[in-house]
Amino acid sequence: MRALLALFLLSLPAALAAQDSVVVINPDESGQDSAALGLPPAILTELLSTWNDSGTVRLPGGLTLPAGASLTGRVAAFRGTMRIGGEFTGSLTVINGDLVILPGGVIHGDVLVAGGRFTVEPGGVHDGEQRVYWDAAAVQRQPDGLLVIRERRRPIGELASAVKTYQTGDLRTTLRLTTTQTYNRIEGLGLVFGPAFEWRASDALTASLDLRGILRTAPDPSPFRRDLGWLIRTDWKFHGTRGFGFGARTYSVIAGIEEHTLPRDEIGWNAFLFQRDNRDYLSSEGVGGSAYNYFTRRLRLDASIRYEKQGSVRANDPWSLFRNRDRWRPNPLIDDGHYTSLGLSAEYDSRNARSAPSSGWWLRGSVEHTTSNDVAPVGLPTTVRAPVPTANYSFDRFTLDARRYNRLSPDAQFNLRLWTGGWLSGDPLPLQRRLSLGGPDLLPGYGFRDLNCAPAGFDDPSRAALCDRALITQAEFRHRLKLRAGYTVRDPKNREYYRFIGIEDPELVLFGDAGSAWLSGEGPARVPNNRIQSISQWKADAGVGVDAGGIAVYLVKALTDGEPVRVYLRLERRF
Amino acid sequence: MAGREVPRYLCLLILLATLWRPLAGQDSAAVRLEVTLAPDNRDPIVFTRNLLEDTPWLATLRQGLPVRLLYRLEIWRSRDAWLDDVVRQLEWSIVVRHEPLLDQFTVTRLGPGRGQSQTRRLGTAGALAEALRVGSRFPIVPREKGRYYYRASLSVATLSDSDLDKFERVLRGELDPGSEDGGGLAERARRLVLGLAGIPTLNLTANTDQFEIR
Repeated sequence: MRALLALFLLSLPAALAAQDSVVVINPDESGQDSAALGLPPAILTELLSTWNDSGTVRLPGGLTLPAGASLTGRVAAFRGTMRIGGEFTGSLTVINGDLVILPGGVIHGDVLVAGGRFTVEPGGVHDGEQRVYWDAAAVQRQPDGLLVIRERRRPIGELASAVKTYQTGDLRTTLRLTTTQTYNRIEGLGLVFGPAFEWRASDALTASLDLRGILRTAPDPSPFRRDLGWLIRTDWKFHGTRGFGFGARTYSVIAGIEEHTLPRDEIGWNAFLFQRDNRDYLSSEGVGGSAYNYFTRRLRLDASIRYEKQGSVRANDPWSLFRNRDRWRPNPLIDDGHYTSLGLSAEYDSRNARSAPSSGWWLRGSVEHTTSNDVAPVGLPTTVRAPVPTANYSFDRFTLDARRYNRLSPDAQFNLRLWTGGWLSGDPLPLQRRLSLGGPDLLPGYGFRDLNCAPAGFDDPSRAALCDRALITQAEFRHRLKLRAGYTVRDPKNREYYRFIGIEDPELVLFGDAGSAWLSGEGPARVPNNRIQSISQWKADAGVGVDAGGIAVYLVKALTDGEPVRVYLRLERRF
Repeated sequence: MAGREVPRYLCLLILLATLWRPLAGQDSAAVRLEVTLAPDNRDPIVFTRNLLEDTPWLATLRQGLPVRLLYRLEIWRSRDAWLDDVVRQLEWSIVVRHEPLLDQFTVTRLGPGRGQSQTRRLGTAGALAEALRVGSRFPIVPREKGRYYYRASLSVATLSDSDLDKFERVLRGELDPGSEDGGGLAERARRLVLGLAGIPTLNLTANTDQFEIR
């Protein structure tokens, strides 16, 4: 690292002489220490002695020496810009300011610029030594006009904020007032408050204790949902090439059902703007523990255990920008009860970026074993689910999400995804662990939960997901368009500079999806447990869209049914 | 997102789309990203041209909003009849802040190596522009035989105070650089407000020609 810094410092004078100066950065150097570059101490001393010398002409704020004028002697300027249009003879020191020799201007003598740049415009002349340092001189001017070294200021990172942090030794305390970062028909906008403590015991160990209260802004007169939730958790993380850690928590939260579908920020926007909530929810109160281990930098394994009370919650009536007079879709009832769950999950991530990746694998899989002795099942048609035992109830469930990103060329990529999950063994799944397809994320050619396994005549305004298993494959081709749709605003003072307002370089997206969701087991309209749905029964769609990064519009048409063309607006990539 | 009802709001959404990215206002005058091959051994050298010269970014900084430059440099292996592969990638951030009382600029680079960070304070906007004009050369030329090219990308955006706090926590080693904590609705709303205020974001990419390692 020191060698790196030395290289960097050595490169500075050269940087001034050459138009294309270069610094060498070796990413494989160990860099545990942070480096603060700055003005060499000897230069700082020289600046102070020059400015504070009684024989120096001091120019606070800079000066313009007009054409035809001349100035001689030892001159120092502090802040502001020195513009030399006439003739200067002597030594010139500029502290925390720029020096410009205008056309026709001449400097005979040595120049020292610290904390600024030196520019000789065409027609200007300098015939002496030049030393230029861009790093600012940490000095300040006293009332008597002399310069002294300025004490280091506090960083300005701590701006007025609803998050305030204090550091005491190895302990960092954060007081927080923020939101749950989403919006839904159960809570409205949740407000999160409370302290968090982080103890950095050593370079290898970080421990944290997070105490969060959650205030739900949507009023709920029913006894099913508390107005105040909480999340108390502690995590112990051991850093290193193979990091590992463990944690424990207790909570009372509103949890989502089918969380593999749309990202929660899109769910929140859809709910906030259009009173359409694409997710269902349950009340979850309990305790849990978890542990993780990185086998390699890319491969992580998690294990968890939790005991919780899961309960139904009802949709409330939080405000939305449009369609505020509409009714929210009811939130389906779930199979209430106390559940004990053991979970294992693994993740392999070789993507080149977490956001908008263009290369690599992202594989995630999980299995869970859940038991309960006091389930209060929702009544479902027996064609959907056999009666659930209210005691000694247990089931196993899995999910797999495999994504591959391929760049075909710098402007084109072809991406693939397979998502599957559902019942694995044991008793039938509870309602809150069942699946569906259809809607903006997984099978957009079909309406929201069009494939939810509801039998004919089963009238359920909540459109609850009832399937045992689901499988969906997705493919997309992306190509960056050299397109600028918008208008240009030019700077009236300098026509060379302009701002483009609009969409620039969006991606054209061609995509297709195919898959199915089904009831598993023996009997009519079911798929045997050891099989997947016949491909001839799958549903498919194809579409086209334009993704401008952060916002995208898609047109999509179902290929296997006479569904209308659908239009979707997305804020995230499809996958 | 809104299903078949969307067309009723298409006009609004198109308006939103045009506002969102311009939030996205792309001041692309002479701002450009270049990646070139070192003549001696084909190391990649990344240059950023004219970014903080007299552009809206400077005004943004003076308005008190830090600017983050997120760079990514990838080594791609070219396969004529098959998909190209990323062999290696580097990522580093540069955060520029303006200190209004001193009218100075603080530049902090995080990465690309693990734990590497560097902070400079620059005296004037001119010095800032000079410092950012310096190219970065990385001794990472591939060693295996094959055809390769480098691809660089730069994403420039403003930072909110919470973003800045997160960045400083990363600098202090208290947060994983890849942490996604803090995203979501509020984050997007903040971006929307910043965008409506006319603050630009900018994305640039550049490639080298292919070269062969024998």
